[in-house]
Amino acid sequence: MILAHITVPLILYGIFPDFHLLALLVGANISSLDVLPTLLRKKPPKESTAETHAATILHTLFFFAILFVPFYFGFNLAIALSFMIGGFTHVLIDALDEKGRMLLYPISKKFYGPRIFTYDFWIYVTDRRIFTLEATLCVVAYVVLLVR
Amino acid sequence: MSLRVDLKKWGGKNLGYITAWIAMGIVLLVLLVWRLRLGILVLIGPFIPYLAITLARIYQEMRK
Repeated sequence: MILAHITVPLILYGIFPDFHLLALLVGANISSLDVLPTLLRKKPPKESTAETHAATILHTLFFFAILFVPFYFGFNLAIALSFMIGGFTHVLIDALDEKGRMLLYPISKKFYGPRIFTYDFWIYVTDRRIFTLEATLCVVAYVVLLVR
Repeated sequence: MSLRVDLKKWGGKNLGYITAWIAMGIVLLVLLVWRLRLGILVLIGPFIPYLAITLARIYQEMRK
């Protein structure tokens, strides 16, 4: 998903006021840094699911669970927990697409998920069902930002 | 399957979606800037080079 990586953490922030907003959002978006090889490639691979994007440690629950420790000792519990939960939302939301994610890494490098949405960007942004879902989440997030 | 897209043709056909996505994103960004103030730089800072690369690639593609 695209905007959901911002809107879902915002909705969580609306439900759980003790979360640290910035840590939640940074955690929820830092995984996207592994999109660089996709941006630099000359042409798309035959299978879009074969992209490096979303196939690195940045897109694993393990990564955020491990980072909890230095964040806890470096900052505080609220920031460490918010960062970890934010990261989890990214990985779990992403796992809804046809590629799935390495949810059990490092135990297994297999990609798991319900495979509900398409992974292909071009199909994704023009799918009416997905657009409606993302737009609804967006409106709820606007309300959270304006009200809280 | 991976799609090879002609950006000009695709953009023309899906202008409504593109406009709506960009509008949703801009409203979200404005609200986030309003809430986070300078904290927004921590969030978007690492992605600024990515945005520059993306815009450069779109520009190249559109000039073809």
